[in-house]
Amino acid sequence: MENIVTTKELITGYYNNGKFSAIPQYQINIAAKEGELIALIGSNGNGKTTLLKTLAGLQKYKSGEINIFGNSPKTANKLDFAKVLSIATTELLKIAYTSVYEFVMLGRYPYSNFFGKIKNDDIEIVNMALNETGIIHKKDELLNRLSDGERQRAVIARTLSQNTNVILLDEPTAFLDIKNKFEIFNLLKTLTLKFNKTIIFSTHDINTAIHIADKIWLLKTNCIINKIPEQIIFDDDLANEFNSDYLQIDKNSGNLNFINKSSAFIGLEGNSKIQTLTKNAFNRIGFEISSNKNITLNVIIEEKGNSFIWKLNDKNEIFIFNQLEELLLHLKFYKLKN
Amino acid sequence: MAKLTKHYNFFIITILIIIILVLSIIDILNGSVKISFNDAINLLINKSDNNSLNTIFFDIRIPRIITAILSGIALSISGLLMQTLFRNPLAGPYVLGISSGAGLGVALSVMGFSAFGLNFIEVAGSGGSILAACLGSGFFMFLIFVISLKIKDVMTLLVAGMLLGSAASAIINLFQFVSSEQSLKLFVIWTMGSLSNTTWQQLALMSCTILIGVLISIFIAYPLNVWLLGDDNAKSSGININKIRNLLFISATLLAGSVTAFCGPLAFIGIAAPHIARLIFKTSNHKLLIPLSAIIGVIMLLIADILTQLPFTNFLIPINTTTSLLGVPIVLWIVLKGKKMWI
Repeated sequence: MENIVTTKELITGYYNNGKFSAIPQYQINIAAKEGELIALIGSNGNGKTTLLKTLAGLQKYKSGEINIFGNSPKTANKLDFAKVLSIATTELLKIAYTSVYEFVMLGRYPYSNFFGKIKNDDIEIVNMALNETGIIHKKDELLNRLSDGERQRAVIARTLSQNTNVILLDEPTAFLDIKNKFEIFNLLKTLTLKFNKTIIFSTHDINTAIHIADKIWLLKTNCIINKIPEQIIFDDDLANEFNSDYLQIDKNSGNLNFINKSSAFIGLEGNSKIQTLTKNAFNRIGFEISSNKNITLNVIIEEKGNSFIWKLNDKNEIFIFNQLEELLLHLKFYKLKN
Repeated sequence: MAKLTKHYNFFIITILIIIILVLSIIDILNGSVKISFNDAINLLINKSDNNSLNTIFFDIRIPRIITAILSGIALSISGLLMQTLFRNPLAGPYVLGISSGAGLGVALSVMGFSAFGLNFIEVAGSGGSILAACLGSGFFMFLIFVISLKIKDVMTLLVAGMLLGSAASAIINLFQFVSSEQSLKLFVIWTMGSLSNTTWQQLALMSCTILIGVLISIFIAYPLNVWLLGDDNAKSSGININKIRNLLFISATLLAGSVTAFCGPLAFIGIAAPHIARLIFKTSNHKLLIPLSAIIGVIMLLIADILTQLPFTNFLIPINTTTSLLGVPIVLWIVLKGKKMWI
């Protein structure tokens, strides 16, 4: 398959009082193929939005080349370019009285005459877009009456009605609850599979991105990385970029884990299914599990029918807990005392 | 649902047009010389059995109605365009100081030249004052637009508009100080606003400029709908924003400038009419809002004009006063709506 989005030695950034500030500080060479779902990730300020806007021709770039289906945003006819690439930025939609249907219909602008006469195929494509994004039941609702999730669907429906090969989305899942977030991610995936569209979206949700995206564009401070998610995890790229005092990337799954700082040690015995959860709970309140037999604090988990009891051995004094929560309260108090 | 809305809209528009007809008739008959309905019919069928009534009817009342209708159309469309340009529900030719700009142009043409012993109106004719008003309003609109690029906040922009208005007033004061008594009087009367000072010739000129302004606004109605979604959305839909913005500038300036040149600064019609239209018809679509705002603007201006000649009295109130009395409550209501100030 051929690349339909490529950049060559591209330097992006913005002009301020005639002076160009490059963001990021390096040349961007990337490519995307037909039907690929690409997650653009990176820390704030690394230039995710700048890159998307530059690809869409909304922002000027200093040097290099952009090729989108044979068009350059710099030189292409604006209307022709709008038939190849659509973008939804995080721009606020402050319109009082526009219905979802009218809004999605505005995506047909590049295909209509100057007065916007609605043709039959416009109606067909708009209905298709509303159907695919699952917002058709709200088509007569005003845009500003929608929930965040519904509005995002309408925004994606508008890019669909623009009928382009490439769709760029700037943080399509920001402000969404977890259910809506996964539904939107699934929608993006479906669109790439069903219509062979190339969708590039920026996100801060790395955990989900590595599970659904075909490719990850990782904007680091010193270079951009373009690989499949598994390769990125295997090569430790995520770990190198994001690992910190509080954040660790699991080398096998690529999952992001919170690092709890421990200031005390505790022993943990017993071989039950609740052991991992108990260990997590100890870590969370600042206890690290120790295998040292001579440790003063020791917990043994015993299984009792369907429930568990936790036996805490504190300098030969024994406490018994039926609830993990009570044990944790006791340990917190213990930490305060010592 | 959609069909029902169509019938509802058609019904409302029919009623509004009937209201315009009724108001026009009242406005024609109303005045310091009362004309009865029968007289009016007689005058229309066979002219000239009463010469003075004939003159009043054909050279004062009819031109006044046409002026009111043209001004209502022009001011409301100009207000609508400015609200779209600035994404600001409180934008309008008067509050943004653009009428003051037109005023400055007129002051310059009426008084500034008299300071040098010239009579500009005599030299350049009424086209001269239209040109001066358009140049003035265009210049001020450009200034306020440049400021709006730096200031995104709705209220701060209005303060900037007020400041520009004050600056214009200061310069106008200066002109008043040095101008001849005769041109000073001419200017002060102009600032009070009036729909009844237009001659047929001036009307012809005014309708030409307003027609051009309205045609341009209709021409850009569709891209304006997309532009309302924001600069990014408009650009990525293939819209040449600069071109649309320039056309909008020309249209809004022609509309506001030509009305202000002949009728003085008519306050608050431009800001209020588009809001009432949006409220009644629940649409942000410019293809509908342009004619609908125009209809509402005409109604408002006709009511304001009828009120200038207080019924049953001989008092004559300046039209700028009555438009303010009508418009200010509406503007207050928009401000009180607070954060939902969307257009």
